[in-house]
Amino acid sequence: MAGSLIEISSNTLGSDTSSVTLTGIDSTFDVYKFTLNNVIPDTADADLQFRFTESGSPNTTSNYDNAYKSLRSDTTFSNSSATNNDKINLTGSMENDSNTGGQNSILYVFNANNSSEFTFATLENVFLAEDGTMLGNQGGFVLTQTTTVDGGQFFFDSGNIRSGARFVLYGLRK
Amino acid sequence: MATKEELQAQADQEIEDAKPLYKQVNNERLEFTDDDYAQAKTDLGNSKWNDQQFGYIQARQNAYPPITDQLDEIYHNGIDAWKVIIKKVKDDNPKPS
Repeated sequence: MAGSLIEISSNTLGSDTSSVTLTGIDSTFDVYKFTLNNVIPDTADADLQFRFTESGSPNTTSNYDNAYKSLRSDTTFSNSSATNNDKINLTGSMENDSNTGGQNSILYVFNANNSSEFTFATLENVFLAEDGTMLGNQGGFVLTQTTTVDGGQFFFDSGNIRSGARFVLYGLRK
Repeated sequence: MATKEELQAQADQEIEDAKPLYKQVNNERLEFTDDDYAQAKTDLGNSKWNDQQFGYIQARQNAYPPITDQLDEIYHNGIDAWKVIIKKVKDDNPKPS
């Protein structure tokens, strides 16, 4: 259906920035979608991480579980999983070259604004590791709290997100 | 091997040295609040601890040859030759004592 993807918030970084927060999730839509394009760390081997936000502030409780398959171009695929973390690792260690590095992701978010349900998300991305290996993660994660989520925060485990990265939050029309 | 407290102190200093830090919220660029700085220090300290204690797991996963190559090595050269390859990966990426 044409016009079913509604942009809610977009951020294109004009300067290196430590974190990016997009809010605007409410009861308007059942499903929300984050897209990340050209997200590069300014520090070698940094991991891109994520937290849901409530009233604009990141939820830092140890209630994040994740499971995904890590696809890679150089060796056997591996599984990644964790329970009761205080954040989600969206990537492994990333290349920080501003020309050849980069990470591109899509996250679909479910039940976010429903205060009686856990908030779920699916993840798919592709990025380059510091040694140039291409990797991609496919899977999902859940915030095991019945809270009202209104957005998400993206950040690296060290250093900044380089200028030029673009983050967009969409709602999927019912 | 650094203690968790030593790594947290390093993280605290790195964040102090990096000030001012900025966040972008719905396309508005803002300097970190005191709470943001405190969280950044905690996160960086935990990251350093996890890298030190558990980084070898990911490093070994990345360094092991594909399973098909390992099976081929066993078929052609035997278990002992395969063990040499696996031991090198483990030795290159030691588990913290």
